[in-house]
Amino acid sequence: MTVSKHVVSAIAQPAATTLAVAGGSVALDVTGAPFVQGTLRVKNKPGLFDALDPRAHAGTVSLVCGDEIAGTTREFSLNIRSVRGGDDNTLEIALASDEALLEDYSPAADTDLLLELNYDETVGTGYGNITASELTGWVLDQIGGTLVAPPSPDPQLEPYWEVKNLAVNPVFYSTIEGAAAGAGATSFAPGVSYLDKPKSMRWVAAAGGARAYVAGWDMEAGSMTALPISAERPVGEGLPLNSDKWLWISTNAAVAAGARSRRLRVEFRRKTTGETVASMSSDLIYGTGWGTVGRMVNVPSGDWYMTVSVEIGATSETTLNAWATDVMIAEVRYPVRALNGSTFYDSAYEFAWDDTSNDSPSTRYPYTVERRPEAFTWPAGQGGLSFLAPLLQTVGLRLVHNGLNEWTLRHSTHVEPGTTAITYGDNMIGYDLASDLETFYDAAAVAYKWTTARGERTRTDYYEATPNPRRVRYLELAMAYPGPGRAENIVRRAQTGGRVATATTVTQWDTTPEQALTIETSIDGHLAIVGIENVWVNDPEVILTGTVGAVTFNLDDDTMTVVARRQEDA
Amino acid sequence: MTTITHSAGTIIPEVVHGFTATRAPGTLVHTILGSPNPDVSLRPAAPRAGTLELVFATATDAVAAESVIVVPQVLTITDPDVSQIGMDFVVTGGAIELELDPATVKVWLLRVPFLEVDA
Repeated sequence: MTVSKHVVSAIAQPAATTLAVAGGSVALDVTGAPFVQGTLRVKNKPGLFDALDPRAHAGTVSLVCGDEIAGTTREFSLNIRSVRGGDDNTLEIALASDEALLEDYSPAADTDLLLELNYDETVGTGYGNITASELTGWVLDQIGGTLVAPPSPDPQLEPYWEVKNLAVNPVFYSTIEGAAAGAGATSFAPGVSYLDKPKSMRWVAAAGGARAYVAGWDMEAGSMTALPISAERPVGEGLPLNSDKWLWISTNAAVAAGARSRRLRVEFRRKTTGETVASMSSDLIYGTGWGTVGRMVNVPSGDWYMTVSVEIGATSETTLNAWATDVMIAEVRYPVRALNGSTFYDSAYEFAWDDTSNDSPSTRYPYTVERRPEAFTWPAGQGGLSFLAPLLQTVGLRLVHNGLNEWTLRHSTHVEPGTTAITYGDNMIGYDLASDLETFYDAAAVAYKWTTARGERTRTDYYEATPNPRRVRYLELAMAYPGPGRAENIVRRAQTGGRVATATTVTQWDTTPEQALTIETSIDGHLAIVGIENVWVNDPEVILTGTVGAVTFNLDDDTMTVVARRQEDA
Repeated sequence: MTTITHSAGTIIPEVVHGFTATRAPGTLVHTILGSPNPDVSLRPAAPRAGTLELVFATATDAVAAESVIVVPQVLTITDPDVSQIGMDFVVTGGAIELELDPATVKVWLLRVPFLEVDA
């Protein structure tokens, strides 16, 4: 016989109102968001409804629950979601952990998180390096939340998408078509190797500075056409480009000893008069050797032509040697890595010339994972959790607020410390075993549908756990493709459910989801193990383990009901 | 002499003919499958509840007392001879009954259901 004495105290904020708890429940569930939800019935008193009214103020209820004999306590601080009361002199309060607050929040205008996180492929070694914890951290910051720690591992969540380099001769492989000598530049030459760059163009200048045009561009009748700056005539196909768009323009430039600085300069000139409409420069880079100079350019409207040049500045040496290659002009909103059709494929992309090598635009194509950059735009009006969850699900992560003060990102293999055992003949009050095909899937298809400037797009993420799946779950989402992974995670989660064991015992306040669990029961003298391994055996020594999928603490009768899940293999 | 104090004065019945108080225990007993020993969850018992039977000499006194009893308020009962029955209480549950005593056909009985409260 186990004797327990359960006590519950509750204080509502912001007015520090002590609540007289008459009953209710607190439930924690790995399949749900908010992770912690509760219902409290409290005795009404004058002014209490106003003190709890969630529309009037963001209120919370601090619950301290415990077993005085076992010496265990469990605390929750939950947000008041609703309050209702009638003629029975009690109020019923619905409570939820902070996921509810996150879902309440949405930006007032569409917010591109790649911009907010300064997504830049030109720095570092990867493609931008945005981790799941960075992305989540930025979103949580909007409601004043922080992750207690990044998940381990902390997966990358950067975008992978098609990018076209509009520069038709980016590396000056055999000619310098599209390039021209600028002020101060002499000895202009193509195809020159310097350090480890096999191809580049080179110019020489006297001390003081020099400029070389690495690309020219002409816009006419709503299309852009590459052309040599020296002669304003089109070569190659025109490319559609709307005005009021963004371009990323960069080149890789090198200077030999003696030169002090270099930068990229972009000028827009009126086509009819040659007058400069807009000009802008990158930051200066000092020192010798290669370095990327580039900047985002907001394209002005009207008829203009564009010149892109590299400027170098010198100290006192009489002669300067400068090189430039890897010209990148792309219709994107973020700095992207330079590419051309001859770039070797890497783990993320394949590269191809659109037409003739070194005389046409080139494109990178996602090689293993496509994750659209549009998926990182948080639409105005969308709740924070709704925005974040699809991105996190592609890498198998779940955002959890523990109902007290901790935000965590959890993998499906996450394990909480501690063990719960509910055993026939020892502490089991009741149990239930159910198997439902409605919640069973061994395959899933998730269709993403979204609209871009180039029309409607659809991508489907499919995963099957077995070659001939019995039940396929179909899910259609109106959002840009965030990459594969969600279908697999749906199936993996479904595989841990399907056959559900539920057991009831006297409340143990340290029971929590994702903790090890054994449920052992008996029918007609036969011992049956109802972990979720779905095995009935006669061997009394066998105990199978799963994890706690959900636990409901019932304050009315001091019992808890635990739902088992199979522990997913790490 | 038993006295019931209310917000506007006191009620003094001739005699309190009956006092029975019951307290519902709160402790929960959970039957454990496969075990003769239940688990126990200790809970406080409910406060005293019951019915006071007040005796009045005249109908006037009885009706006057009833008119006070029906006013929603916390009442206090004291008796210097039996101090143990002293308590604050509210009138709740059952029914307030006014009756001409069938045995004597003279005195009046007022039955008041009560629940002890911590005022």
